[in-house]
Amino acid sequence: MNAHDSHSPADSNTGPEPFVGQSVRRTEDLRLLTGQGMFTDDAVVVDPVYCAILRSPHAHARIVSVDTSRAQAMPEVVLAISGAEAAEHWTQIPAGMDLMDMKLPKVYAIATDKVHYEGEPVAAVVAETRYAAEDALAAIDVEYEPLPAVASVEDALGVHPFDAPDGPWSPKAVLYEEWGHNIQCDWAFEIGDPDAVFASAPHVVSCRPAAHRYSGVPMETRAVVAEYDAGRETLKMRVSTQLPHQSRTLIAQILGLSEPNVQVLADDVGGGFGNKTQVDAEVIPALMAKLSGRAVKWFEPRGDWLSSGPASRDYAHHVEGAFDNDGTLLAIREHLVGDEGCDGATRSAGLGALLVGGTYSAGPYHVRSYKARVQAVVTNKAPYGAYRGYGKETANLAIERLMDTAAAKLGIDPVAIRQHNLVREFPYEMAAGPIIESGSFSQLLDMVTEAMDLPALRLRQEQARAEGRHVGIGVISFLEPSAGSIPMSVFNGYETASVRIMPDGKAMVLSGLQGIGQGVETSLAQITADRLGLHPGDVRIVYGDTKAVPYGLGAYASRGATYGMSAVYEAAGEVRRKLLKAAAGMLEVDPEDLELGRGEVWVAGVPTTRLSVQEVARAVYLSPGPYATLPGEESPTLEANHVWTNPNVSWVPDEHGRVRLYPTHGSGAQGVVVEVDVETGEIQIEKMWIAHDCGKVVNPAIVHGQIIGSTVQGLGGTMFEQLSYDDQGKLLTKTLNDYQLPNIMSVPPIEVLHMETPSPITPLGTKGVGEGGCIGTPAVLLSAVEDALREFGVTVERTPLDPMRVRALVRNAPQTAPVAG
Amino acid sequence: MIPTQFDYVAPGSVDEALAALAQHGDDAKVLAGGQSLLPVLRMRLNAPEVVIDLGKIDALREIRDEGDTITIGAMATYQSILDHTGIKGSLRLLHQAISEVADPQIRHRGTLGGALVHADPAGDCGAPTLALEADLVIQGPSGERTVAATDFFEDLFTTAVGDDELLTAIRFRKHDGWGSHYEKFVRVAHQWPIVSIAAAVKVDGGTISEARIGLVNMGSTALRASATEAALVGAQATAEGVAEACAKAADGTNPPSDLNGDADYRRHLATVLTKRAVLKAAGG
Ligand SMILES: Cc1cc2nc3c(=O)[nH]c(=O)nc-3n(C[C@H](O)[C@H](O)[C@H](O)COP(=O)(O)OP(=O)(O)OC[C@H]3O[C@@H](n4cnc5c(N)ncnc54)[C@H](O)[C@@H]3O)c2cc1C
Repeated sequence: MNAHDSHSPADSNTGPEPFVGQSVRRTEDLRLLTGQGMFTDDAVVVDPVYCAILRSPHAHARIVSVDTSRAQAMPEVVLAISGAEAAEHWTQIPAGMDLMDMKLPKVYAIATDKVHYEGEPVAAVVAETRYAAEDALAAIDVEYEPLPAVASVEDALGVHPFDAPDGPWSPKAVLYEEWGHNIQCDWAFEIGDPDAVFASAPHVVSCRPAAHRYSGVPMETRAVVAEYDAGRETLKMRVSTQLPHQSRTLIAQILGLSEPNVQVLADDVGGGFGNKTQVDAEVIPALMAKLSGRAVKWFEPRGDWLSSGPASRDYAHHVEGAFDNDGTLLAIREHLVGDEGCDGATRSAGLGALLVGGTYSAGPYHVRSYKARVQAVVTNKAPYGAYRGYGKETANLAIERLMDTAAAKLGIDPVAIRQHNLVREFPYEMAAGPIIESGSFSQLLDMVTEAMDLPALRLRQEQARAEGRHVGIGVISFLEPSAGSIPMSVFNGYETASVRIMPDGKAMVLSGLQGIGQGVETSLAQITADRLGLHPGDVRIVYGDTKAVPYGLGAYASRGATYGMSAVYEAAGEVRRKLLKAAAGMLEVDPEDLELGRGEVWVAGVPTTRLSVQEVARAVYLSPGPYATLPGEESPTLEANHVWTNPNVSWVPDEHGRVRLYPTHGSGAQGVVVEVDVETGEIQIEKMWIAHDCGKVVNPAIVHGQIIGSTVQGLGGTMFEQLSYDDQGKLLTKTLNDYQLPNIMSVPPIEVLHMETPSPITPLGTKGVGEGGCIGTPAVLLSAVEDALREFGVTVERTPLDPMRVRALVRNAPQTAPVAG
Repeated sequence: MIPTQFDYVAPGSVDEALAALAQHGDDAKVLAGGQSLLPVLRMRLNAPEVVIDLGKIDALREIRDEGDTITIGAMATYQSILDHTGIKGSLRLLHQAISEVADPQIRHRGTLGGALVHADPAGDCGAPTLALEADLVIQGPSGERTVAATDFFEDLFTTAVGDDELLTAIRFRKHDGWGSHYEKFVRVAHQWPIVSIAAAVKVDGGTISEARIGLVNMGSTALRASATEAALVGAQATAEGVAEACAKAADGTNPPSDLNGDADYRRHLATVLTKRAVLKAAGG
């Protein structure tokens, strides 16, 4: 064993010790780190042409005319097409979700009569080279009639809903005339007579947390390679997507193709983060392939990702909490208003994030009275999509800011008020509907405060304050609802797996999940290996090919560990049963007497009576075959399919208007120490702690990576990243020079602590882990900065925490504090 | 990168490069390290017909120690400047500022000459060049001329280098005996500065006898804070001693407003950072 292997006990261990729970080295990493990945644009196709998309320079305008003739006449241009021309060949984009009476824009992937944001496609070309395609865009003449740009919720409604929740509205302009207003969805529910509780509560505190617009920035932007075979009427498409199957459904529908004739392939995907869960511009190169008869490659430029990719956050939240004298939370009232840009349900799926924000604002705390109102408002900005967190960070910021505000007002220690209110008994049905199936919330909070050594930190903070330095400490809890399941949408609640042992004794798993960097090839192999007595290296995981894998739903909403792993576990269990049955027949013993491991099956206590899995497999399939080895078995080979689903999902609103969209619930607690330079507004993050519980941990190294990654994304969004528009709806952040991402130098030390509280509803006890750090990090940072500035008496409830805004908080503070130096 | 089409020439000498410039005039663009020019071409903000690459002219990469001065060839990369021991010893301000430019990849490509001709007021190199009172050597069809740093930066992205000229070298007087500090303020490490201060001071027995302050991103060019420089002469090198002078750091400036900071915030930062830079320069 060399030094390398010492990190990976599994590599040298094929004994009875299960692979689940070990940090098995990620099988996908070697190819990814040595440049052997197969990302969409890596695909080599015969005689390709290259697609480029002309995008609107206006936020809101009527299209008077589009003339592609000059472009079409250019020597290397194969095809140039306007939205009106394209509309003869495809349908409008079908909605990805349709529930809660949401309004659905009727739009094409290339605009026909009107543009709704700067960056909306208005024409497309394919040409022999990427250069020629780009040159051709400049030769397309578009005449626009600009319309007033709706650049904010105030523009969209004339009044902010916090001031007049039911209008009357006086919009600056209406995006979709047929709606008559700019509200895509208005959802409300209440339970437990909250108004009465508020009226009699000893204390009412309120806050208005708000987050700016930001989103994921995957290294690989959107990309497509499309090949159309006119003879067979088949379309083969490589797409950088999280949802190969639903992409196929939607693309087939849009192009009027028979769904079995469309193949979507997604081998390696260079980052998803929720951002690649829709079909929007992706269908343009597909149409171009169909019309031109040539293989089409499209690789989205970074600037187009920033101007037209799915955006997130951008909301204002008004939350009120009713508290008893001892700090008991009695009721929550909230009103969440999201600026969705032009659309959150058809072009992309961000609307659901606002519904999640409205549902989960009690977080991990006990409360019986709850009232929510969610308004999703459309404006002339890029579509609103899914992004790691998906409203759970919205809910978390609300409840955690409320807890801090209540603690300060009631004179209770901020950790103590949280401990006092955390849910302790499970399963727990939240007032808002979801069932939290298990958890150890209070222990997680203890873990974090102990690791931080909170009393010592508070002492250090005192000393720093005496020197005129402003050190702040934040501690929060968070709930991580996972495995989002939205019936009436492409984000449904089931997953498929097909598991087979091949005649050579190696296993193959076809999973409906999608690999987007989370390591599913490794973790699913660990689970399968344990079930089938194999080494993970002998298990091949196949995903991302609609021709190979049964219909499944892909990667989103931290669903892999709940849905994908459970489906594989169950399917592999069925194969195991058949494997043991066949082996028992061959050894002439009872299946119950057999043990399985290290690629072999043997009689318990008689280790010399053994067969290799390969011998059994060969016997089942070929020599002699299933007549002899699995007589009477209904499906007599070593293959099984399973579709895993669960009952903790409900989508028809109950008598209170509530729904239940997440079956499992990870959770955690976070701590941070910051120092604020009050002269410049700069925030130095000294250290972060995060305690996390995702139920059963299948691979600790992968879980660790997910937590670090999501924490850094949460930090980047809260501190640096920003999609900013001017008051005419023009994007100001069109490059990564303006949209500032965190880098290795911006990342503080992060200490990760683990806790395992198994979920009772999944066979392995797994929950989800993809989003944790994105959920709690905004709240813990705001909490710490407010704590650092306590002497100034300022409230910190909005992001971004950029130095200019932090300095302005200090400068405009109601109180002044002594400054050193 | 998908720029518009251009021709490419790589002359082997300064004379050949000047001849190419004379031939193509406005239609040509000179390429040094490409770290500013290539992004401009990629975004199609500029569409030159000819790109003249100076990369083959080895003479322009030389760094010469001339006793009292050090002359840095326009094509010397940031990294070669950082690796030069004479610069580390005698031009610490320049060394420190360059060590904070972008990241190692960019520092191995980007050149001091390219940065100065590009003349982005947010660039790190203009302010130390001003504060160290460098001379810039320019060659054109009618020969060589030398321009003082104060006369070099004319406006946003505009310098004294004409369309038919090349910057060939930057000459610095050694600053042994000076204290200096480069104070860079960024949101994300390795990013362009929001505001930076390049301070060089001479201290005699606790009193500042001379001061040079360069400002980054406080106007359409790199600037000197002359009011502060004057007021620092004779000041005690203590927090109280320099406070009044440093409060003038933004006098007469017209800083830009953008997402990272509006003009008022930049003015405020300039005073805070100047004080910090001067104190560190005086202390070190
Ligand atoms: C991601 C990134 C981050 C960066 N961060 C920073 C930062 O933090 N701080 C900072 O200061 N800079 C930063 N830069 C810019 C970097 O410093 C550039 O290298 C520098 O601005 C230009 O130098 P260059 O040699 O690359 O010049 P080029 O890009 O090749 O040329 C720049 C301009 O100067 C002209 N030119 C070049 N040489 C000559 C010459 N000898 N005579 C006449 N004209 C000439 C060119 O025609 C062109 O117009 C960053 C760049 C990138 C890509």
